[in-house]
Amino acid sequence: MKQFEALTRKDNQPVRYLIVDDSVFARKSLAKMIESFGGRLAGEAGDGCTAITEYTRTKPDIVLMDITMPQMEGIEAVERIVQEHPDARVVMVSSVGYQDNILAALQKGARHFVQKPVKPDALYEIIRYVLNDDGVTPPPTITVEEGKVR
Amino acid sequence: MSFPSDEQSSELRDLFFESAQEILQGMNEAGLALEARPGDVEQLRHVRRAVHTLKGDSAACGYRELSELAHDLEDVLTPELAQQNAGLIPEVILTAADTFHEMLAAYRNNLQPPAGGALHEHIRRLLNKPAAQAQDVPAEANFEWSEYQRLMIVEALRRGENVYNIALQLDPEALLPAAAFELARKSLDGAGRVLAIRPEDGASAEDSRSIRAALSTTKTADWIRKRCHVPSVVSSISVERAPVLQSPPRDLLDILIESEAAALSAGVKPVMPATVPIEEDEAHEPAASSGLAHAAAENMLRVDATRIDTVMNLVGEMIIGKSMLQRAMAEFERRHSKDPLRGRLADALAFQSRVLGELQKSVMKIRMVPVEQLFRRFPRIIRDVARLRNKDIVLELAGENTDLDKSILDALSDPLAHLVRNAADHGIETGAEREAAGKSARGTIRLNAYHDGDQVVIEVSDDGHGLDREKIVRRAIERGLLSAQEANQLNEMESLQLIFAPGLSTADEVTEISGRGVGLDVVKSSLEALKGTVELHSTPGQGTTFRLLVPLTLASIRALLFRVHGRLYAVPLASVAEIARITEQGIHRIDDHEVFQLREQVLTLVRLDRLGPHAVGERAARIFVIVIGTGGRKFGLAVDSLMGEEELVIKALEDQLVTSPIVSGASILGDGTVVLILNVPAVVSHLSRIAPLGATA
Repeated sequence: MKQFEALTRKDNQPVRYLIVDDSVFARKSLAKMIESFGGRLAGEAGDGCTAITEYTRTKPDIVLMDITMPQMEGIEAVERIVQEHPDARVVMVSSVGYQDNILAALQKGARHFVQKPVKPDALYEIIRYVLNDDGVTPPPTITVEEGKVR
Repeated sequence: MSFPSDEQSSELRDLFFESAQEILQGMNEAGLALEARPGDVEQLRHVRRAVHTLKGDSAACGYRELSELAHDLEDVLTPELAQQNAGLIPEVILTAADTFHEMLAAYRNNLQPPAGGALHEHIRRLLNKPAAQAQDVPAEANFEWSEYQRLMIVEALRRGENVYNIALQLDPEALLPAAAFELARKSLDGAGRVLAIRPEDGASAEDSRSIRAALSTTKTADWIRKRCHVPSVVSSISVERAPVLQSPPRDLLDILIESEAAALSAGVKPVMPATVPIEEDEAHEPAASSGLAHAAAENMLRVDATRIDTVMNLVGEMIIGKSMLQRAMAEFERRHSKDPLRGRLADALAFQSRVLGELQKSVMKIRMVPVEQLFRRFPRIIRDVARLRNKDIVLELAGENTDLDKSILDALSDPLAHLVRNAADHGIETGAEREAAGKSARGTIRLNAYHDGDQVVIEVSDDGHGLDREKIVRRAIERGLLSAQEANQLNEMESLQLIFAPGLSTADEVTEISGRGVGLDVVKSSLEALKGTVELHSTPGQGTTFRLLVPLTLASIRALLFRVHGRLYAVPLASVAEIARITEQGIHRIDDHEVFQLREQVLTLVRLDRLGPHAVGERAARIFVIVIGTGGRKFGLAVDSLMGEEELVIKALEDQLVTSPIVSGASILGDGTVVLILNVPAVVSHLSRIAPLGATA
């Protein structure tokens, strides 16, 4: 898999991810991608309910969340997470055809969305954008660790 | 808080318009200088200062649109941007000078100023050039808002907020346009306050792949570019400062309040986006911040020209009074030649006369301005024509310091501009043609001014292909201006003079520059109205020279006085070539008119008592002939007696009094006698209808 320049947090620590998807395959492939971005897997969840508890437990920097899941839909999970943690950076992952759901998720506080099948380049750019996107204050210059390619 | 009185503010505005003209002239000159030497930092700084002054002054006068545009322009005239766009800067400055000129004209006539689209476009281009990602946004991205949206933008601008127009191009690969729109919209919301957006919702974004928005923000354009360039949603982005919008009609009170607010804030520098580095030297430019105050502080008075005219008129009356005294004095000397009082009176009179002479000169000097004021306009005209016609033309100026009466100078402005334009457009050939003719590819236009006695001569010469005499004559015959037979009698100079006839243009194609239906006939009549003349010399292949001769001043004239049939007349001394005496036997008749021989030349003889070819009875054996030369023609004026020369103060004749076009004015002598001043050009044109002048027999 292609390697990217590592994305880091402002404190230069690796970015920690929570991956939420009911498909194990999807979770594995997303985990591989974030690894190539220099990120760390903080937790995984197969449904919305678990996602909420995992979020509270792991406090990840980024949540990658599938839009359609059993028990609790992604939209509801986003809403609950953002209500409790307004700083949460949730990126919706969705296949085409769920535009209305994506729209709703964005309105509930998701920061971005990425289409399935997920292209690493697109996801990398999105995460970089979302990491710097703190809404109100100007973003700091993007901190990318020079030459640290894993 | 008090509003300035109407008079005060109108005076202020007059002052503003005047100083603004100077600023624009300076911009034109600096623009040309930068074109010649791109990257001249000194010139750039000069322009920037000028624009800064204009910004402050126009704000103080309540001309918000101009002030804002000047502000935007100032922002892009940084050494950094200028270095990156050295080729573009001169054009921007010249466009700005034109735009500001139009806006000023509109303000002067209380009209809504034009928006200055071309200048906005330039500024936008300058601002965006470093941001390469804007490339695929269509350049003509126009922002058309509804009336409400415009109002929002205008209001925000009025509050001094920074408003940007933002165009977002949505990624064509984004398969969820509504979601993409939502994200883009959110990014805008995060960047500031969205004043206007189109489309307004994601549903309509389905078919339009781009979003336009006006955003009020404290952020910089760069920040916005980063923030709103949402990955996998926005493929490209353009951010530019919002142009000044025409606000919906407002009521007077609003405008007054706004003017006052603008005046108050004029000294305060609005917050600038950080993309444009603010120069350190800003603080070292005290002159820039208050051009009006600066102009007022100089030891200069701006006086209404009519006031000077009044003084001039009074001086004229005093000269007549002096003449009356001198005549009375002469009478006194005759009667009381032994009276010791005579010497004292004569001394007092001499003293008074000397002071009066000084006074007259001083007053005239007030009206005098160097022709440089006029010449300054021409580099720009020539540059524009040269560009449009793709020619290489250099302008040479000489004698810029020659003084001329302001009113004459003003009246010369249009005719001279016409001649200069003509020279550049028609006179000078294209580079290829010039080289084929063995000349250098670069054409030269020369403007020269100098004093010649009581006249000022202004020459416009070019080293182009010269006038085609054959063509002029042919055209004149076609237009029925004269018959082929008459044409045969014309000499070289006379046939060239035909181009001053109305409706005769030899330019094969009417170009957009000079072919505006205003011909050389207008130049000629303007000159005649100034009691001036225009001469023309042309050598095929080598060029053409127009010589404009105008009196130094219109207020007084040195004239030769003469009598015909007991009546007193005068001709301007400047047009008198010589005085001759001839005998009746020396007068011959050719066709229908009288001629006489003066050395090798045969000249037409004009008699004022019968401007026509009728024979009369007895005449003195020897008669005086005043030989008058004007516009390259000579003719003789038969007079009964010569009365000497005198400084005449010209009194305008009221229209209903003037029955003859050949009289241009009148004057009163010391003894109260009225003198009529002949309008020499009119006499010439009157004559040329009767007989060709100066035709060699």
